[in-house]
Parts: sequence; C-alpha cells; structure tokens
Amino acid sequence: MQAIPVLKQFIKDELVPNLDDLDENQSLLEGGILDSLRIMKLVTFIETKFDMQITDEELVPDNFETLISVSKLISNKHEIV
Amino acid sequence: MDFSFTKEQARFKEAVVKFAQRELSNGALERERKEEFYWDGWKKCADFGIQGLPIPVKYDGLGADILTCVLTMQGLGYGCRDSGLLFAINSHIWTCEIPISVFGTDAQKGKYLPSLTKGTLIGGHAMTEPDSGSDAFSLRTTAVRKGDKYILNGTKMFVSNAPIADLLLVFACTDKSKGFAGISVFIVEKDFPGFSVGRPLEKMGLKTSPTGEVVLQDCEVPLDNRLGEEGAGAAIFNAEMEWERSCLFASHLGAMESQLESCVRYAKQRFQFGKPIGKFQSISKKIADMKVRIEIASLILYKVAWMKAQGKRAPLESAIAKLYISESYVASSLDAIQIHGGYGYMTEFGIERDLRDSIAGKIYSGTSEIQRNIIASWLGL
Repeated sequence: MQAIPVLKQFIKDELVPNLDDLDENQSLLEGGILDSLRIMKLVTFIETKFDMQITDEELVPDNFETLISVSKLISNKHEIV
Repeated sequence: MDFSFTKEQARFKEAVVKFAQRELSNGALERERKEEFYWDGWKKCADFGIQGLPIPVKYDGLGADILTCVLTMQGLGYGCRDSGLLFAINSHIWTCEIPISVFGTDAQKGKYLPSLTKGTLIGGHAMTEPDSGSDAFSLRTTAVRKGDKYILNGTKMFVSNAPIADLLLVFACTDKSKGFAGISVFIVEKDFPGFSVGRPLEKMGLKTSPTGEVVLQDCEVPLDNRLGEEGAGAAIFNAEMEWERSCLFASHLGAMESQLESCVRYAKQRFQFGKPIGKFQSISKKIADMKVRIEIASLILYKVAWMKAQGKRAPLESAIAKLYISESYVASSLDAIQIHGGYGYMTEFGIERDLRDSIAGKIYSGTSEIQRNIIASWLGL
C-alpha cells in the first residue's frame, strides 16, 4: 500500500479539514499541521491501517517531520516485520 | 476483554490493603494539620516494593504488570488515609521512574532506577510554568546546547515533590520553530549548578504532599542527562500522562470505596426521627449513586489497564477514565459530607478532607476541561 496518499487523505479528512494542499516535503510540525493531540490520532490511524505498533520511543520529530518521513517509518517497520 | 484478576493479583492487592491500613494511616490527620511529609511512610512503601512496582527486576523493581499496578494503587487508596503520601508516590513512579525506564539509556537506567525503586532517591517532573498550564507545550523554559552540556533557563510552577526531590525531569524548549515537537526532557539533579527550589506552596488539599516552584538559572545539565532524543518531550509527556491517568486515579477509586463503606456504616448507625438515616431515601439514594460511580469507574479503569496490557494505546480511554474518576470522587466526597452532616464538615472526622483532596484531581494531570477537549478531538470535533 502506498502510504503517502493514504496519510495525506487522513490528515485532510480527519485532522485538518480546511487544509488546501499538502506537499510530501512540507513540514508537518513547523506549520502546525500536527500538534500533540493530532499526532496521537495519526499514530493510532497508522497502527490500525498498516497493522503495526509504533513505540513511544519512535514518536520523535525525525519520524513525523514530513509525509515522506512518516512513510519511511512505516516502510522501515514493515521491513523489520 | 477479560478483567478477571489472577489469584496472585488478588492476593497482592489484599496484602497492600493490610499493609496500608496497618502502616500508613496512623497520624494522617495530625500530619495534614502540620503539612508534614510522611518520611517513614515513604520508606515503608519502598521496603514493601511500591516505588519499584512497574520497574523491571533488573533495576530492583517488582516488574509488575499494569493491572497489578492499578490494583495496588486501588488498594493503597482504600487502606491509606494519607493521600498526600500516595500522591507523592504516584508522581515519583509515573512522571519520573516510568519515563526513565521507557526512554532512558542503559546508563541512565542503571544510574537512577535502582535508587528510585528503593526510595533512596525521590523524583518528579517539572512541566507546568507560571504562564503555561493547560497549554503545556507553550512552555518558555529553554535549553541551549553548549559543548557537552545544556544550559537551562526558566521557572517551573506547581511541581509535585519539588521540595523533597533529588531529581526532576525538566521539560524545556530546544527548538522553538517546531512547537510541541521542539520540547526536550532533561534529568536534573538537585545539586546541579543553577538549580533551586522555592518554598513549599500551601494548598487546599493533599497537604502532606510537598509542592513547590523550581528556578533554573543557567542550570548546567550534562548532555548524558537528556532523556530521549531532542524533541522527544511530547512523546515522553504523553506516555507518562497515559500511565498516570490510568494508575494514579486507581488510588482515588480505592478512596471512594472506603468512603462508601464509611457512609453505609454511618447511615445504619445514625438514628434520626426514630430510625437509621439510611432508611430515608434522601440518604440511601446518595449512597446508591456513590456505588454506581465506583462500578462505572472500575470498568473504565480496568479497560484502560487491559488495553495497555495488550500493548494498545489508550489516549482516549485514559482521558475518559481520568475525567470520570476525578469528577466522581468530588461528587462522592460532597455526598459523604452531606450524609455525615455536621460531623462530615468537622475536620477531626476526616470526611471533609476527601473533598479537599479530590478537587486537585480535576486539575492535575490535565484539567477536566482538557480531558473533554481530548475526547471531543477524538470525535472529530
């Protein structure tokens, strides 16, 4: 499953409904697209949708900076599995 | 979903209740009047293993599962009348030990956890500031890296255990541009240069739990004392809050059970108009409501514990549990005073104390308003 389109759709549908567009290199953190509540909703969504568990230690900015970094986190975890 | 307890869990809870009744409650009213921390009680709890409850055996803890932790706190809440002591222990475990245990390096765990579990070190965390409470991640304390150190500057407010703590997990901003993701955490020892604690703050309740202000003035923290990566502050905070909202409030549930028993006993013994006051529906219905709150609170709490035991996240469920239990405790404390009438209002009977203690539960660990925000957010609002 291509992660980026799925993540983008979830963010636009569930987290920031008025978001015009979301580039895959756009910072999710500096622009305030993710906040401390939204990141937990995103993590719960990823765990359910991609059938994986994200540890507390993985909830660091490097893994959630952009859609690309979130996608890498997902694909890396799938490889480990 | 299986909320049944194993024989070991049930036996352990029973032992905790007996221990708390025997060792922790004597002199609680007097200590509250003097606003004294119960040092002997702290040590007795450490000897029993309470402070090391969820910590791996490798670090001298008991390595208990979360349901055992919940049952233990429930048993302590039921048997111990020194709620300030319980609050101090809960702060120590969930906001200091657990984050170090989960996010710490092997060196950090080896250095701090054995002493924290033995109770020879006391810990806590410092998040809230004079201008940031509910909006926790808008904190102003900064941490700037200089060589092999970080320099921390800022003021922390309402820090549980601060006047007695040997170390605190201090939340500070390392990258303002990243908002909540620019917050980092540092293990700050009380002897680090630039660290100081103000006078203990006087409170409405939980008077035997010392609370204070912390000042960080060019406070030097070794690089090795950063907990987790830079920017891991929000993850650490969310993780510890999920634990605290699950386990700390189990002690409120235990206190509510004890409160209910007192009310039933009193309603049977107290005669007015020629019969026990429990025979009047205005009293018995209050007691019925207290029982309903306990049953619902238990189910929510055990569900959260079950979810965490399954390795699931429970941010929504722990917010619901925290909100419901804290508000139920206040409601039941008001009912208990009303049922006991004038005796309930007098400090020497210890009934009104529950109300003063319970109100704090609607404020710390995220206010009731913040819990409702979290719940609404999960509903897409």
